[in-house]
Amino acid sequence: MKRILIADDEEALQRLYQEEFEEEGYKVILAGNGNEVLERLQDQDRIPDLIIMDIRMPGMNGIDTLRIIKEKYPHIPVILCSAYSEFKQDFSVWASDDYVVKSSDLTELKEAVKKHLK
Amino acid sequence: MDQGIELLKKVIQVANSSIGFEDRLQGILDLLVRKEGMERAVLLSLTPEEETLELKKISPRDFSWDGCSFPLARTPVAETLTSRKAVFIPRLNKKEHKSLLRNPLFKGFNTLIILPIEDDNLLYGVLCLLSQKAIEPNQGQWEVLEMVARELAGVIRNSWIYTESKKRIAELSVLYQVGKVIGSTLELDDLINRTVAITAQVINTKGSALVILAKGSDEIIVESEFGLVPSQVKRRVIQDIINQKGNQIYHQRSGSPDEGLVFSPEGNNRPSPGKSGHLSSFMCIPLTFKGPYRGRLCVYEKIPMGSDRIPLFSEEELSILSTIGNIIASSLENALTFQKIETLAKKNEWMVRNLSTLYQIDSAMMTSASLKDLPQIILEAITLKQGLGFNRAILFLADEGKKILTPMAWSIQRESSQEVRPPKEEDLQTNTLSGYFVRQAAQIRNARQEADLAVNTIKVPLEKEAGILARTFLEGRTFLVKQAAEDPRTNKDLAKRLKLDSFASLPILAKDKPIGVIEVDNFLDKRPITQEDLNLLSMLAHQAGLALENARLYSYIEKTNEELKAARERLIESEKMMAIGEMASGLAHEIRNPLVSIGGFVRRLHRKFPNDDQVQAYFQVIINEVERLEKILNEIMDFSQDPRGSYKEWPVNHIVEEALGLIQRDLDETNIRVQKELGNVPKVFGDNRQLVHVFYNLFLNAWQAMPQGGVLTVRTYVKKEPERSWVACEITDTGGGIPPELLHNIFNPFFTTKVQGSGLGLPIVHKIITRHNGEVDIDNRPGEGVSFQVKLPAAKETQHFFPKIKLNGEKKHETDINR
Repeated sequence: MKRILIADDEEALQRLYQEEFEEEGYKVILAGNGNEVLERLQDQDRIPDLIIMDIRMPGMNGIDTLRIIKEKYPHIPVILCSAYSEFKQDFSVWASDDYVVKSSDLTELKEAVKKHLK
Repeated sequence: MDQGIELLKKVIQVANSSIGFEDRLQGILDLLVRKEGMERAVLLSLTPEEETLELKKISPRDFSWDGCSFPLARTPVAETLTSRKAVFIPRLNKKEHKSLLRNPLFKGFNTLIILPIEDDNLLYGVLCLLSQKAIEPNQGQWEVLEMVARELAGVIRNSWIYTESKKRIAELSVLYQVGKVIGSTLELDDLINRTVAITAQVINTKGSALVILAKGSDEIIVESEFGLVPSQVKRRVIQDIINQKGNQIYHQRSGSPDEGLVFSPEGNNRPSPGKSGHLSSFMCIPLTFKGPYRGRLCVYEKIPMGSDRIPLFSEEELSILSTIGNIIASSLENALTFQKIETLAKKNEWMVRNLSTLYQIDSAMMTSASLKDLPQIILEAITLKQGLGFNRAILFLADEGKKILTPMAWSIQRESSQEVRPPKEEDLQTNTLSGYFVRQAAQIRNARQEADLAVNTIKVPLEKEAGILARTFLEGRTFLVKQAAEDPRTNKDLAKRLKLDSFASLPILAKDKPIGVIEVDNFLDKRPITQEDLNLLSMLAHQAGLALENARLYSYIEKTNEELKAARERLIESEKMMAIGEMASGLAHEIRNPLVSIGGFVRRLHRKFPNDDQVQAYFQVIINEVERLEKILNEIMDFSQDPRGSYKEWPVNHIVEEALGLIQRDLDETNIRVQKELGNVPKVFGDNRQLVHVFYNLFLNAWQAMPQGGVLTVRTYVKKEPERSWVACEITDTGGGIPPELLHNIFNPFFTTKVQGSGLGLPIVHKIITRHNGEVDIDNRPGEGVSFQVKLPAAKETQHFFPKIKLNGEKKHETDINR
């Protein structure tokens, strides 16, 4: 079973993501900010296969976190999922693997996850 | 009656008769010979110098005298003159009177009576009475002889007085006539012609000449002659003026030609008889002027009166000539001055007219700043009748790229009434005058249309062989061609096409560099082009060059200004957009999250209760509405997004310079000195438009902080901090700093202390820099100024973290940066 780490500071969204992706057959790990993401990554037994991460988060934000993830775990694909639509075309600047604008319809996000876990 | 009384009576009668003085003297001598029994009576008169005696009269008259003057030395005659007493020599002997007897007057006589001829004042001469017989006058006879001598003196004195008064009258009449002439005109030419004529006339000579030179040079100002003047005289007169010769009388003695007076020409041309060759006499006097002139007045060859002998000039005549000279000198000088003033006045008038034309043209040119109108204005000025009055003018501008001259504008004289040549005889005979004018006008109109066509398509290659126009441009000098058809330098094809006869072409220079050529000609009325025309044209061409250059610069400045304005407007616009964008994206982020929750969970509910149709319908409504809201949010985001620059590697100095360029003019106007210390710093990675915006905002801030001027310091350098190193840019103003109580607000949106300003400048700076993973620090020194320090990560460092970009970036962007 593939493990997905989802980072978002909104609890409602955390829950939505969790339920949706578990239904899809993934194991979901949650984090509320960048620091928590790095914390979760410490657990050698539960290394995620993919990370979905918001950009704007309290504490360490998504971009800074991404930099560190890419430095330490370059093999884990990261999908940025943010309410900012303007970064979509430049997401590669931060070296993320994909960028999905948050939407109530999770089809796009689910497809991106599928794509990167192939 | 006593014989003595009888003689005296007769003598007195003769002395007071109305016959001429000479005849009276002769008559008296005749009486002495006839009545007193003398055999010869000789009247010797003193010469004016009173040194010698000359024969005045002799009786009987058949004695021929050789004209030599009578020697005075040690003779009884001289004794008589000194003692003024009568001398009686009863017997002339060879021993005692050797010198007397050698003289033919006294030769062969025995008795000699010498009487002084004198009145109460003057001694006029002596009377010698001679006889071969021995005679001895008695007391009565002596008395009679003395009285006769006295009578003779009276006659001579009277004749002197008479001659003197006649001379005075003649002189007065001369002066009267000369005065009349010189008073009659102020015209110099007229005056000198009349002067030489009247001078010759009053002195009674065959010719006269007048020459005036300028002082200090040999330039002849005036020369005029009248009647017979030898052809070589002028040079001699001029020489005399230069040598400052005084009064001169010259008489040529027969048989001894004076070298200076034989006017044989230098080239040994045959002297034409009467004109050059021998002059018997001439008189010259210098003319003295107060002004810068010197001159000479001469008369030649006295006209003989009655006798064949050529009369000689006397001292009196010289003095008359001198008097004439004095009188005319001042009149001549007046006339010279008058003429000079008149010439000056004319020249002034001409210059004023031309200057005013130029001024008009110039102001017309200066008021027109449009490059389009200028050439036409210049050409109209050249062809306008009130302007320079040429028939045609063409302005060629050089296309340096294509290396050709092309006509940019041309003008052909419009007003035709004065161009119409005076009708010829046959025109008037065969047709009515009006018909003639109509034909003429039509002809000119046609000529003009043809000319228009001819000019339109001219192209002159910029090669020396292409003719005068090309050379005018290439050599940067003026050409004046008199006969286009015959001049080997002209382009025959062009000359034929433009019907050129005489034409001129001038270079138009701007900053000493030719930019074009003006061609002018009078192809309609064939008026010759003068040097004056060229002078005026060259002034105009000069003006034209300046004006064209000004207009070019003006349009350049205008264009640059427009561009700058547009750039600033774009920037302001983008600042607003960016502000809206920032707001919108903040808003979107805040709204989107709950919206995603609502929508997401409703979709879940929708899937969880698939069988309840009513609930399904409600869910669908919510799903649709959430989607609608999300769509609206997306649209807002799309709209508010600034048209992006590109994320690439950029040299910070380049970005800083670009931002500085946008505000440079404001800084200059406010007297803010910019001190740049741009270091050698690595490139940064980011969106150039946003970064330019950051620095522009910071410069704008500094400018607004220093309305009275100051120093804006811009430094770029590498800043090493413990954790990492930055590319830093420090912007420091001398605007007094920010009040500490306001400092914490400056990055808050909509906070501003400025009257004008959105309050979004610094917040946007902060946003953009944060987005670029940079930082903004403030060093506020109240009373001094503010330093903003923008710190950005070097592109290398970013790439170190993001190896993926390195690949993209280097391939894609390196070339762009260097463009």
